[in-house]
Formats: sequence, structure tokens, C-alpha cells
Amino acid sequence: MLPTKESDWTILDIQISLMKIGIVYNSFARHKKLPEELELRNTAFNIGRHLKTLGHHIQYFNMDSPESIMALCRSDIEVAFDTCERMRGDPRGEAFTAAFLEFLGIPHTRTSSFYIALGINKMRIKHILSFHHILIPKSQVFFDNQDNLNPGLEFPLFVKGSESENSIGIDEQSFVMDMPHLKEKVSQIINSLHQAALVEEFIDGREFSVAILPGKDNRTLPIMEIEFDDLPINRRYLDYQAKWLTNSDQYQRTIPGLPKNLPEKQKQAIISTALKCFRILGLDSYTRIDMRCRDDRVYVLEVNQNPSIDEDGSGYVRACKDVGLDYNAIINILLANALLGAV
Amino acid sequence: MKIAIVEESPLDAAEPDLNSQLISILLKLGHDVCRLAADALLFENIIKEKPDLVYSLVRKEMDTARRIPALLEIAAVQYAGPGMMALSFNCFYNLLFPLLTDSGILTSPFLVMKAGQPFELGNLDFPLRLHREGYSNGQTLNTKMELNSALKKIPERDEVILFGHVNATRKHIYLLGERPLVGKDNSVCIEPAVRAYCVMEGRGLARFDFLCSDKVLLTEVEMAPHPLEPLMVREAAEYGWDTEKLIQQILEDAVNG
Repeated sequence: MLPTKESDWTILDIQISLMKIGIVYNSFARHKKLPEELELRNTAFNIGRHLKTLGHHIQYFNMDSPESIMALCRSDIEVAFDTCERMRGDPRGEAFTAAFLEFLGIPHTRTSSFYIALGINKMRIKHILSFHHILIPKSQVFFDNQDNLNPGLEFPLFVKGSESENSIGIDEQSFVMDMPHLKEKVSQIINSLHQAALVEEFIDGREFSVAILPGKDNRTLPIMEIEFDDLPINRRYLDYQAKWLTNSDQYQRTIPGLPKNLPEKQKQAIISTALKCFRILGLDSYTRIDMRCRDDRVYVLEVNQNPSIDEDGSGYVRACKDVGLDYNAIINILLANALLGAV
Repeated sequence: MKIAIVEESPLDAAEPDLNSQLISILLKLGHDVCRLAADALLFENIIKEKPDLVYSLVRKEMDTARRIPALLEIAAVQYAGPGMMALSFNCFYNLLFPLLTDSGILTSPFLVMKAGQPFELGNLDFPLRLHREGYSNGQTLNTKMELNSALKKIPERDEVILFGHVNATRKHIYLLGERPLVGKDNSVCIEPAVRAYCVMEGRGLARFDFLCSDKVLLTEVEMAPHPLEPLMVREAAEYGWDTEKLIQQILEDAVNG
């Protein structure tokens, strides 16, 4: 049975007394921010507001500003709530920020920087999981649209950026049924995202995600399922619209919720796979693992070491609320976990 | 160029003599050199000094060393030497070797496990080499008793990797960028070394050690060798480079790469 009180989740031998906490965030230099950038920035400020109402002393550090970074170096904060992603458009920025905090000796709420960096390259994660006998869709990285398709990969295929996050680059052309469309999407990924394209077999099956709440005993939250309404097979996935454009058809018709009619054996397989991935990849903070099931087999699609913790829209927060954890409790648990890593 | 050399704080370097030699060479090549400590003010000092290039020689504390490239990336300054990923892989063989294996690179036989879990050695022969996650140095263990004793000293949940002994000739190769510095008899190492270098997001100078018999097995990597370590200097000489040429090539690779 899952614990129902916040105190059962916190690290009992570390009390979160009033602290000096730094909120580390991206302001994003662009004047007109993309939806995912707006959410990230708002999440940072929202967390800061919550912490302030709890009595903590809060300072904000903008990782897009050298002056702010210098202030961070000179600060006396005791822990950092790190919400950074990207740096000057580079997805490695997430890992760099965590590493910077570690260099300064400041505990932070993210997984350790090396594991973040490891996870930025999706193919790398697949290799490691595959070595440990975790099922993953057959995949191939395309550096050029003239690369030959490996014989083991059969259509339909799914194409995405090898390093992109927030579903950037995933759209209605990501699902491909033939070579011309494959090459077209590969070109589009390479040219617009400036990264290699990851091509993988499309697993048509039920899609689940498992959020993991970190702590002394890392725990899984209730399994969530994404229902795709009656969308056709070539639209049965979470693309950029489904994640960020609330007025879009795809957003309205991809519905997260608790799974119905999930056999117990499959449920245990999903949970066990999620925990194995967490352990194999050395993770130690909030994580979400996305999977699909086909023919009673569980395939790992993504290991997201930085799932959104936006108070209003995120699946991770929703999963926490399903077990009675409000937003303050979630924030406290993540802080406690950061301090546990520092012990 | 103005080059900032980053060293352990407080200027307590792992190889002070080699660092001093390097600085002398840089000055001889006409560069302007400043020395910075790897401490909390490093970012601020880099912003103030505005070097054209940074070269981190931090080696003693690998936990610090492997985070410095991240700081340099944030500072948007050019730097010589490995990036964060490559330096970290140096300390996490437990993740590196499965990645290399699944990427099609042949390696010494190994076993990855938690220090506290029961295990079977399978086809691994003594003497074994043990690497603990987060540490760059391994230790050699000659017997089961030594192995059990070593494992008891490691927290149960920490991951370790055990390499089995292979009776073969040891060879190594240095790469600069993806360019091999080929010495005698190690041309068989080039292809797997370059592949491993790419998998590890290699950058700058790196050394790959192999065990060669009928197969070429990667057994150790060093992603941040000191550019003036004696073996490196000797092999560069065989390649036709004196130390000044070697350092010049490293700088050019950093600036152009």
C-alpha cells in the first residue's frame, strides 16, 4: 500500500527546517517564448512562491545571465531547486547546470549531472537498457537522410530527434509508412533541430507511464495510461501539439488517466520495468518512464529524467495528487531527497 | 592567445612539474598564460580574465575535474581537453562498458553488479580488476578472498564492474580528435579506438588500451591524459612531434574542433 501522508514520504531523519533555497531557472532569451519555455519559467517562479509561503528564504538565479551565475557562485544558499533545461538552445544545458551546482557543492533537486548527460542521447540510453535486457523498440540513428535503413527495421516507423525533449519535433509526420516519408522526416529533424534523427519501430499498443518519487526507498506512483480516444494508428502518440497546444485536436483527444482493465501480471511487469530502468541508469531524483505494451511485453520508449512538475498540467504532479500529495508536499519531498544526496 | 590554465585548489596540482613544463611551452609558443584555481570563483575569474582558451589540468579530484567542462560550457569559452561526458565515463566504467559492448565494440570480459549482491564469476578469470562507480582508478584482485574483502568495503548499493584476466598482448593508442597518433604495432587499435572515442563524446587527447590476440579487446580508457605524460611525449616523438608541436596541435584541435 502506498503511504498516504507526506511524513511517510519524507526522509524521516532529515527535517526540512527553514532554509536558504536558490531557484535556478532559465529566463530564455527569446522575447516570444515557446509554450514549453513559458511553462518551465512559470514553474520555477511558482515553486519559489510556494517555498516562500512555507517560510524559506528564496533567491532566484537565472542561468541565462552571467551576472546571476556569478551571484550564485557567491551565494550562501543551502540547496538549489533546479528547473533548468537547455542553454542557448543546447539540450546539454540541463546537465551543465546540475554539474555546475555540484561543482559549487550545492545539493540540488535533479538527478546527478552525469546521469542527466547520459540521458540526453536517447540512443545511448537504449544501448544501456538493451544490454541489461530491457525491451526497447528496434532503433537506428540517422545522421543523413541518405543513410540506409537497417534490415531489421520494418514500417511503420517512428521518427524523432535523438536528443530533443518536450516532444519538440514530434508531429503528424513522425509516423512513417514508407521510405520517401522516412527520408523527408529525417531531413526535417536534422535541418531544423540540428541533431541526428532517431528512427524506431512503432509499437502499437497501450501506452503507460510510471512516475517515480525519489527518496530513501524510491517508490513508483500509480501507473497512468494515455488513451488515444479513437485516433487512427498514425496519430496514436503524444506529439508536440498533444503536450503543449491546449486548443489542438491532439491535446483534446489524448487523455491521461488511471488504466482500466489492466491485468495484475502486466501491472507488475510495468512497475518492475520502471524500477529496473531507474536503477540501471543510476537515477536518483524525480523521473517518469514511458512504456508501451504489445503481446504482453513491455517496451520502454523514454526515460524522462526531467518530467514537468508544473502544478497545473503535469502528469507527474497529477500522479502525486492521486496518492494524496499536494504541491507543497511534492516540493518538500524533492528537497529532502536533494539533501539526502548531500549527507 | 590568452590561455587560462585551471589547476586544483589551492594550486595543489596532481602533476605540478608537468603543469609547469606545459606553461613554459605555452609561453615559448608566444601565448599569454594565467593560472586559475578550480574553486567557487572559477566562473567569475574566467569572465573577468576573458581567456581565448581554457585548459583544465585538474586531475587529483576527479569529482571536480569532470564538472569543470560544464562550467566552461556555461561560460561559453573555448576549452582544450575532454568534455563532461567523456571525463565522467572515465569514472563510470559500469555504464561505459555495457554501452560500448551494445555499440558493437569488443571489450575485455566483464560483470556489472551491485557490491552487495550475490554473484557468479562465470567466465571471468583471476586476477580480476575492479572499478567502482564514480572512481577512475581500479584495483587488481588476485583471489576470491581479496575480491570479497574489497566488495565488503564498498556500500552494498554501489555498482562495480569486474574485468576478467585475458592472456594477450597489451597495446594502446592515443587519439587527438579522431586522429590516431600511430606508433609501432598498434594500427589494429585504430578503428575500435575511434569508435569508442565517438561513443564517449571524446574531445582532445585520449588514450585507449587494448588486449590483442586473435581479437582486439578494449580494456581501459583514459580520456584526460596529461599532454606531457612521459609515454605520450615518447609516442608523439615517434609520430614526429616534439613537445612544442604536440601542444600546438592540441591547441589547434581545441580551437578548430
